[in-house]
Amino acid sequence: MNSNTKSLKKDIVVVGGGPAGMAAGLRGAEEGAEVMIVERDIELGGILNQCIHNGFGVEIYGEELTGPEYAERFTSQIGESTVDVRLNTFVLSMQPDKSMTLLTPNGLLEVEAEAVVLATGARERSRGEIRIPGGRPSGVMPAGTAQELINKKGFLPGKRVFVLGSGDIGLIISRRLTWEGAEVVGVAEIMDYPTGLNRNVVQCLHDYDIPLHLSHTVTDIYGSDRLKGIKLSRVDDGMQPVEGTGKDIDVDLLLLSVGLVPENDFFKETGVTLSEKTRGPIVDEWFQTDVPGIFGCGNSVHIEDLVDWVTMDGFRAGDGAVAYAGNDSLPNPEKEVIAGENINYVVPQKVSGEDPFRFALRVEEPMENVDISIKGTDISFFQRIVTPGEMEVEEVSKDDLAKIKELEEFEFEVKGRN
Amino acid sequence: MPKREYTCVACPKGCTVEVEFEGDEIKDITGYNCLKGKDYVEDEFHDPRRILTTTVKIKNAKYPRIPVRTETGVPKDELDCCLDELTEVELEAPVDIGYTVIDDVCSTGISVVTSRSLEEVTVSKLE
Ligand SMILES: Cc1cc2nc3c(=O)[nH]c(=O)nc-3n(C[C@H](O)[C@H](O)[C@H](O)COP(=O)(O)OP(=O)(O)OC[C@H]3O[C@@H](n4cnc5c(N)ncnc54)[C@H](O)[C@@H]3O)c2cc1C
Ligand code: SF4
Repeated sequence: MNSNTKSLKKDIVVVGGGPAGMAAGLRGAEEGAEVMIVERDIELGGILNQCIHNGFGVEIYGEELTGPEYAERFTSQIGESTVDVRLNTFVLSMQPDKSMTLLTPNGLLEVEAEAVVLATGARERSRGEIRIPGGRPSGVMPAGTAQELINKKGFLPGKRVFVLGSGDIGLIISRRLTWEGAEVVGVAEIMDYPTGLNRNVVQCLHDYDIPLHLSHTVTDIYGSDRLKGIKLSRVDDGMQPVEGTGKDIDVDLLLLSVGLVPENDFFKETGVTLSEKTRGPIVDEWFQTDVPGIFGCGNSVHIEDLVDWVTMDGFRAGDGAVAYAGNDSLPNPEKEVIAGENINYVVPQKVSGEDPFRFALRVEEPMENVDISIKGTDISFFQRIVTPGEMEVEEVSKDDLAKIKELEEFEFEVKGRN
Repeated sequence: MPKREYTCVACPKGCTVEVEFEGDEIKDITGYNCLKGKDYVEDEFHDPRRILTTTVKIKNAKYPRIPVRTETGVPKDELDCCLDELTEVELEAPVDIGYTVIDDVCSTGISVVTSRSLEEVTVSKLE
């Protein structure tokens, strides 16, 4: 160890100070643990600070807060708590034994933790990951980057804009750009249905007559220094561009809103097993991974659409971390949770079957009048509408669990009622 | 009779609801699948409102902009006017969350408030 390096011990270190990390950290401190939150940004709040639209907190507070309002409810509680908050601080490396090296504004810091909560959020898929051919001019960027520039810096990165991807980020940025005086000439979606919420399609696109091109994608990018335009093409059922359908559109900004991926670097670094579906860690009902004492929550585990669930998962991970750090053993997650018929994934992927748990799942296909159930049991939850764009969250209660104790695995399925 | 089509946003189903009207009066409304949807479309027809969320300039803070919102929905037709009025505003840190930026934006009777607090930053701390 370098002589300038300081070292510290904590019960719980939370990496990431977004809503997930803030909830985990607060819960840990409330239960008497010594908690440190490490955040690389200049403030807590994560992605909420740039999501200035309303729509946050409906489940927890019953109101539609803006992202910053939601964040401030937590940052103010943290300010009054015992949580040791380290801003402008990066985690450089992390070991499976939960020791880590931090780069702080005052130099390196070695920290040993009993338990770690990785609440590092997600990153946006970039152009490289979706392979659009054409030039590499400036003026092509992830939608979230544009959102940050506009909402925090007051900088408008383009005047004539095309948006690729109809997820909520793409829809919300379209309205935001319009309000800032830019012209959004269109939004393209490769699927044959919009992937964001219907409400956002109506209030962000229809309200401003912004065309939504379903079953379309961008197949070329023009310009060498600065973006000059794009080619928009129709795709067939196999999502391949149909020759001869290409149409050139002049724009000076192309925004990519083509999905988020869990920021999973530290899970990988510590040897945690990842799920191929979610790209986040495989977790149990306490959000513990298969490396003991390493927990995750929020977008680093799977992409959530409501911050309320992120917060609740953070509390749960905080509880788990407190138990682990205090040597209270958490029940062994010996039952596998399986994504059955019409289900893309379920989180958690394994449970003990001893404690009630909330599960979150995404379906493969839109359906109406369905039962979400555990196969071979009478435990089921009715839903009038399910779509891949909206996560379904339900809770398996203590009474339910008593009925299914002998099952070795819980296979969830989504089936239509006739 | 003139008709107008709405997409209901009261639930993810997104029913297409058709309104036949004369002047300000709804004569017929079809296509909704539940009463929540009917209420939504009636409101949309008579008095469509939206919450406006944008930013205004701020001095002496760590960012040059601070997010603001209208306290309740403003008439959809007034959104442009509200945006224009807000471009004229410049605040000075420190500012609290919920601080009233304009108390009657575009004569709608609705106030615009900050949606976060920003502390004062002395110039030497800015990059
Ligand atoms: C555009 C957009 C619109 C949304 N709209 C809504 C909505 O209307 N309603 C709703 O309920 N939800 C909405 N959401 C979803 C919700 O905001 C997210 O699910 C939630 O913010 C995720 O929280 P998180 O804490 O997991 O991640 P984040 O908020 O991303 O926080 C992760 C934090 O970790 C930090 N970090 C990462 N790596 C490191 C490291 N190595 N060292 C230190 N710190 C690190 C990051 O700086 C960041 O602060 C929206 C999301 C987006 C992107
Ligand atoms: S009319 Fe009813 S069912 Fe149809 S979208 Fe509206 S709320 Fe949903």
